Amino acid sequence: MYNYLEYFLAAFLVVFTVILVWFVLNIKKLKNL
Amino acid sequence: MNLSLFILSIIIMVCNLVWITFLTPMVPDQEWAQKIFYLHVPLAWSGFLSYFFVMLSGLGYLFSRNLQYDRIGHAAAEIGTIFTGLVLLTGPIWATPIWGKPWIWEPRLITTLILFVIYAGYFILRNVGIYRQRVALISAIIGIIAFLDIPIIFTSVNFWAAEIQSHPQMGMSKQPSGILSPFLFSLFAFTNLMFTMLFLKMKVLYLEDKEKNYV
Repeated sequence: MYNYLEYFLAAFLVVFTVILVWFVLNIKKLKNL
Repeated sequence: MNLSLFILSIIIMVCNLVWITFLTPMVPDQEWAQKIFYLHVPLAWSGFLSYFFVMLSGLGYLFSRNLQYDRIGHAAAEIGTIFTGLVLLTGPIWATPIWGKPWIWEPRLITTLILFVIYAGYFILRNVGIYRQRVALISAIIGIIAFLDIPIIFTSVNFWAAEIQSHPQMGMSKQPSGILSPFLFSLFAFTNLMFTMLFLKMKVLYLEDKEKNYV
């Protein structure tokens, strides 16, 4: 049932970590401008 | 940025992730690895759509010399490159268990990598420090030329001999039932996310230009 679950979780973490970091950086910039 | 659009994007994406994780059917042989495609393909679609806006705003800048078009192009290029980068990361994560190796030098992968490298060059150029209007002009030209790679990526599976390709053709009709609806919803969710990011970035770039007295 849990075949290849680690690959799905890895893809999930990579995608949403990158997008979250992008939002944090840009919202910070927006507040400083 | 429009706060309501931001909140709406979060709600849509959370629904999308719950649907993908808990409610989509398992595909025999690939199991959880197949679910990566609900992220991988919508990221590719949104990234290419973003690059389409780079091309359109490049044309807009060439005809009008209005820096507003340059800001749209810059924002769209950044988002397109992030999404294409994520496509190039999630692809190998899927391929490792399914193909047995993360990367194959196959037409669609190579043309996508070329697109990413072209835009890496685009951002290097934007930061070399020449004056604003010249950066905007050269970026517009690169954005238009780089977009030519996208039809090549789409048709790359037809350009080269079938035996050198191991790329899935994404024939959705051949997929088990129950996959199409969450896939389409994921396309919508990532497109919506792309627009939210685009509006936020455009606002940031506008304020940066204003601070430097370009607006």
